[in-house]
Amino acid sequence: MKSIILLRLGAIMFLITVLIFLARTRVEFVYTGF
Amino acid sequence: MIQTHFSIMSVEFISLSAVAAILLAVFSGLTRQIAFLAVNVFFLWSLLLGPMGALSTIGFCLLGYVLTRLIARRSQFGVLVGALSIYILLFMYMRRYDFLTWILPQSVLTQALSTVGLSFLLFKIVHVMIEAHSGTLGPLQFSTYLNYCLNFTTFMMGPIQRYQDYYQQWFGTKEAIPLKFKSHLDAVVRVLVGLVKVYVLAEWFGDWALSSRTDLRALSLNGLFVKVYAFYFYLYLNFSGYCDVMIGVGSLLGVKPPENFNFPFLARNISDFWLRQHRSLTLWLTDYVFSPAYKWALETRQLGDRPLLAANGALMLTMLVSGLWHGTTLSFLLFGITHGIFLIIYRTWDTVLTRLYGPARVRAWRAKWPVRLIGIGLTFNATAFAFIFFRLDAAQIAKLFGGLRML
Repeated sequence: MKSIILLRLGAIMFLITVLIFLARTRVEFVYTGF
Repeated sequence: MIQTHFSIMSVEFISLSAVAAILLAVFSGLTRQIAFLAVNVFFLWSLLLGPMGALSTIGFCLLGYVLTRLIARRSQFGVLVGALSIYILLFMYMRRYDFLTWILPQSVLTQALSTVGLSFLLFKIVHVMIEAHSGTLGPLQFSTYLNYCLNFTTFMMGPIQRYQDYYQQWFGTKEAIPLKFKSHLDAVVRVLVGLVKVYVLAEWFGDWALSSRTDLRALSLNGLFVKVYAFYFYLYLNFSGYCDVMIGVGSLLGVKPPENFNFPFLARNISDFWLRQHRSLTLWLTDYVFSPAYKWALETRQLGDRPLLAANGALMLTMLVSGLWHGTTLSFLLFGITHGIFLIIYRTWDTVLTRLYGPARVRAWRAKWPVRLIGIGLTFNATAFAFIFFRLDAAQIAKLFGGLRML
């Protein structure tokens, strides 16, 4: 059980790191209506 | 295209989601409804649409409520048809469909009412009206209806949630996610995966993707394939990533929006594709356009004994509605017609094969992996090229086909 939680916390930290370093600031939402 | 500068990675949106989660967990009853309404109106007014857009959207919802009450009170079919006609015409006027310029003077046309999310809102409210007529809607409460319409997790780009699903989750008769720490962490992971899809991966593909500025005459055939494939994945990651974020946020609030994607690039045929891509739209169109049209066609004298023709006609009508729903220009009508043709080809092929060899042999043949791979390849290419209509106007498409003929 503890490892399942730790795995998710690890994934959260990894994804936040990816977002901090690689995310673009301005993004267009394609499906907002054409 | 309707532009929005709204960001789902902004401090404002993340704070609003956190505040909403706390308010919905703390309050109950009418206070909970009012708190959620305040959050939704704040979202529309301050983050997404501005005062004019928020007011016209709320007005659109209120008219929908009045018409639904009328439909529920009088069960005649004519009342439903009249209400739907008024509502859809108003929607077309608000969205300023291109063809309106042929029939209405410029002075009465306006762009000011064309707001983000209006197409999704229309389908949610039309669903409520039809279910109210059939008596399958369940209890229609004003505050629940308004929050269902304005719910910020399904407002901007879907998924198109059903009223009954929203109602059951809101009142706790259906669980959004299990009440476990692990499930809540999963929802947070889902939000972050969605953000990475939209703000990192989609943008990488976006750099290579077909755009309205692409010089089609300077493009080689290989270059065209790269741009079309990149646009396909850009579209998928942008939209499915957004849905991941909203499904994650909704799960944390206690009302989870429906799933909308299931790896559409692995679809084995065009019918399978539409059950994997924008699934909530497909199910809506199946219930409210395809099924009634097919049933009506089978009841007519001319098509009663020709089920394949009836089904193909209903499929084309469904895809025309889908095309017109996606956008206001000729390109989107062409998108709908193209998908209609794909579906008709597939359905006819499937019916003929089944008639010739029987369902068991066809099923066994389909299970073979080379057949699967061919199916996936054909479906992927057909759907990727049909998405060209999302980026190019009719003149650019004509230019593209002109260029291809010369190759």
